Amino acid sequence: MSDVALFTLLGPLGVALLLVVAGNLRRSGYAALALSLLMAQANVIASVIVLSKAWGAPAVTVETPWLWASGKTMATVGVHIDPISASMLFVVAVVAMCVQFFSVSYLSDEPREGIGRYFTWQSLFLFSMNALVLAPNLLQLFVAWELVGLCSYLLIGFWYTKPSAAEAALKAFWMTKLADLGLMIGLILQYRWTGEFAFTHEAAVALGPMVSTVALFYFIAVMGKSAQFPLHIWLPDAMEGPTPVSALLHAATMVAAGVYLVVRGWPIFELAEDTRLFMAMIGGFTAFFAACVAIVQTDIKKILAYSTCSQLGYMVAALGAGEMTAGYYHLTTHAFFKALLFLGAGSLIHAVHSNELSNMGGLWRKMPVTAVTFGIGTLALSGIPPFAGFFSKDLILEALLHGAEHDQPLLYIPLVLCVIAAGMTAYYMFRVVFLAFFGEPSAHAEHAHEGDLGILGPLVLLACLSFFAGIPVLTSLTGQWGHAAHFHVTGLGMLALALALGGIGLAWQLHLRGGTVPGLGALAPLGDIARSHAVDRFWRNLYLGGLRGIAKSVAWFDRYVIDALINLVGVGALQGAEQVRKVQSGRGGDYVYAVFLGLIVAVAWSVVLA
Amino acid sequence: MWASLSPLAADLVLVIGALSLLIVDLVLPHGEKKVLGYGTAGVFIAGLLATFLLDLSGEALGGAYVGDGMALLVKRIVYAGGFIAVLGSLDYGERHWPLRQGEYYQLMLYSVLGMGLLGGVEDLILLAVAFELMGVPLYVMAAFARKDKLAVEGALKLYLTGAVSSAATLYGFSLIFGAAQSTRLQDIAVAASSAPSPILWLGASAALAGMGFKLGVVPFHMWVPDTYRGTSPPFVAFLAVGPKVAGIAAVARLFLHGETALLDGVAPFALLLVWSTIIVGNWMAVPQTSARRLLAYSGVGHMGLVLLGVVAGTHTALAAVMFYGAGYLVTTAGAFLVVSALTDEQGSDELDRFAGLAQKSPFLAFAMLVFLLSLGGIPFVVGFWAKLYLFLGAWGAGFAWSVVLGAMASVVGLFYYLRVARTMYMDEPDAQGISVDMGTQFAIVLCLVFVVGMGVVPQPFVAIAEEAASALLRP
Repeated sequence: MSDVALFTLLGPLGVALLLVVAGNLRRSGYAALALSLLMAQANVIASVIVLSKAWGAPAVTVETPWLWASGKTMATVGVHIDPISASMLFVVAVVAMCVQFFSVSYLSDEPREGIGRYFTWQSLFLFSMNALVLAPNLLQLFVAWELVGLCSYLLIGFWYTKPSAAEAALKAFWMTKLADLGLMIGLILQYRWTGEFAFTHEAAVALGPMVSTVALFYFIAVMGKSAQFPLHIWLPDAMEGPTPVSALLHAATMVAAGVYLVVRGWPIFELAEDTRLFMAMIGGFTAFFAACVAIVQTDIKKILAYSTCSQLGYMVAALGAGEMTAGYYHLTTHAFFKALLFLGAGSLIHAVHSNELSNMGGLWRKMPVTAVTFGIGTLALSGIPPFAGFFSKDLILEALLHGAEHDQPLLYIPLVLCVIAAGMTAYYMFRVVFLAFFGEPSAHAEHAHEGDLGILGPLVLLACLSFFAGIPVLTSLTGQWGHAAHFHVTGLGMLALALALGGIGLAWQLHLRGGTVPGLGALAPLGDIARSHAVDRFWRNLYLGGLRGIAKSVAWFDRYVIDALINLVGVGALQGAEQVRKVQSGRGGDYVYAVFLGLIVAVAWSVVLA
Repeated sequence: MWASLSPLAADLVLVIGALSLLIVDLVLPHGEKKVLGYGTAGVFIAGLLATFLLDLSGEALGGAYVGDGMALLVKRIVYAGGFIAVLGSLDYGERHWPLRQGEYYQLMLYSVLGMGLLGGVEDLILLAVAFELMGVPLYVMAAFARKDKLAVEGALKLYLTGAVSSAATLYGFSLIFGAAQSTRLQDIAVAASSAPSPILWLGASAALAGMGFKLGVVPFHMWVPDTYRGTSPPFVAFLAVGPKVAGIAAVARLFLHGETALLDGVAPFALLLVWSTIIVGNWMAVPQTSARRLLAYSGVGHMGLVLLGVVAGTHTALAAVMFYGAGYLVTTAGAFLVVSALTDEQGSDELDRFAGLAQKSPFLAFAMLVFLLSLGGIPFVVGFWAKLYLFLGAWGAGFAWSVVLGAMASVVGLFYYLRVARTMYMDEPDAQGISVDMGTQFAIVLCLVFVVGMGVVPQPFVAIAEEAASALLRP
């Protein structure tokens, strides 16, 4: 089994390296495409084998030391196979294959060189993501974490001639890198405390009183990667990349890596109660806030991006409430139906050559397969039974309620936010459906037609999975991960369902019938707030202003304070050096003064010490 | 007598090689001086081979020099740095100073000789001599393009600050001698723990300040950007790496000698230097528009981290410093060689000259990207392990806040490194193709191999670094 798992690492890596090294192969485009696609399929088969072997079996870890220092192993590489990693491996493999298939048709107009580059990075991403999923320790996870970030940077910037794409790529990279500091500091802390990077229960216990601090640092990185408020702002901008990339990285897999980190490091997070409360609050607020913003967007990909933030917020909230399986289960179901929605959006964008909802409309006759599969994805995301999203969302709400009733009353806050967000989710998703598929066709939509099999095949496959990932596997799957969950009809679930149906009704009234709802105008200011880019502006100012500001102030300090001090001191003692200054054009003398300044500090220090 | 010189066999290879080349230079006709460059490269290779094939252990010069693991590692690093720098200068020297190539390589060999000695000094006097042997040729080499005003100005700044720093170092050494009554580093370390005195701390502080100049530690860094910017481009690939590694080894030998009492005495001052260096280096790099100035400030920032490792004063941290030094050498030398190739072709190293480099020269752009990623500390290149190892070491020694500062600075670092990467890959090129001479190309490939190799298989290098650290501190 472990050799099959190793194949999922080395296969895609081999393809990526081959394509990097063999420039002609890459530039030919189609050879790169074929290689990458074949590997993606082989990867699915391998992941199925791994999942079937890991099912119900004890965890298998194969690692080999990579770096050892002071006689003890510091870093190992290898694979850790248990039902948790095997499930994620499968999800990544399926979505990656669908996305690569979809990309063939989607990017058919690109120059060959671009296609080659795209599939090289896709293979590199597959390797990095698999390495992250199978990591036997947090250090390997961190290494892979950085690599998927790099792949995200490369793929968002795929259309690098577009300035907005290039800027979005940079923004995503910096934002997540800033958050990754947390992971790095957490890792160092954990290593100092326990001497290893393990995510086992023993390691968590060994952390003792530090466990909450370490978990908090890890969670900062999670907030960056999984786009939690207020570090979420890179995700909507990342939509500048090709739509299949958004489906794979920014909906199904890479953004979920943050949640996966919590799942993997669950023994640590389980003990970190304070941190988990913070997580639940952040998650609940993100679920609500991002749903608010999604309501007022007009770009279909932006709506889906904010929706992803919102759904990731649900997962984080569930984890914060202490129910790991609920959060992880939502990750799996969400991966399928959100990838489906993104690919469906890609199909629409491919047909009408625009992201704007106003350029769509009336498309269901022209694109029936897209319409039906997108509809299924929407129902799943809105939490309508019998699709997967209903069950996973229900588990999360139950988990929050259970936590609020039994150990932490503050959990009622994220619970309420999540329940309200459930209604909003249904509203904004059905708004998309009604505006894109129904109503009057716009000028752009006149000549729209359905894509070929490469576009429709993945849609159908993912639509099926959006159903089968639900009730058919719910209990057995969660049972494999830990505590098996069962679905019960509860009042809370019915309330969420009712809100979702209400949201659909509202969307129908407003966007299909063109009617109004009395009193809705009063909510307009809320829309303005959501539409404003206050959070974006804050970070931009902090980054650009802060960085430039600090640079300027350091420069100012260099020039005026240090200079002034030097001049002050220089009057008496440094007459000789003043002569040197005259010999030189001027600034060179300052440099010598700087040396003296350092010396003076040294002398002053010695005097203080004496 | 010869037996006692055996630890210096590799150094003797350099001396004999340099003297032979001096004679060859006399008989070589004009127009064929490029041979001297190949000869110098050969001498460095011979020196490197000597470090691997000969037994260089033991004491020499009456105990003033010892051939331990630290000495060996520093020799290998600086010889390799010399080799890379020669390769980068071959073509440039032939075009810009065809008749003076012999002098250039002579100076380079002597400077490297000094660096090689610094790894194993056991005596203040040899330390001072080796430091100057390393430094004085650099002043001359910096001014080699004597008609170029910027180069001469840069060289003069290097020289002026260098002279003052040497004075400070020697002043410090004399105070240390006065307090410890010995020039042996071993005795000084003992004296620092058994009979500490303010005079000793004063001397140690002054010595640290003086030696900090060579490392480019703030506030002794001000020459760095100007000199890097002004002097001939391939020379920067020499100046920016070897002297730093040798300098940090010398600082480590002086302050961490079995005991850390001498270091403890100056630790707050040293930590002040570390902080100011990390902050000023990284933040001043942000607004730079010249590639060499940018790399100069970023190099200053890296030296702050390296010095942090020394200040941490544990075996792990020192091993990390040596590993960082080796990784820094190949990464920075490679980056400066790319800049050198570009500057040479286009007459400027402004960042906008990097626009569209990926289309003009995919090789240079890819190499630069790898070097930038390494400087930024991304996995699978050496910079990642170097940073992680150093942070672990420093945190373990109780310098948590400094590590946090360093980690934050490395994020800032990515800000400006990626700006260069973006310009290379995402902007439209303005001019056509770039040709890179064979020597520089080979040197860049060599750097690439090590940057990636040490990133993927760090273990052998870490083992060597640990052995070097064991020469001074117990694990």
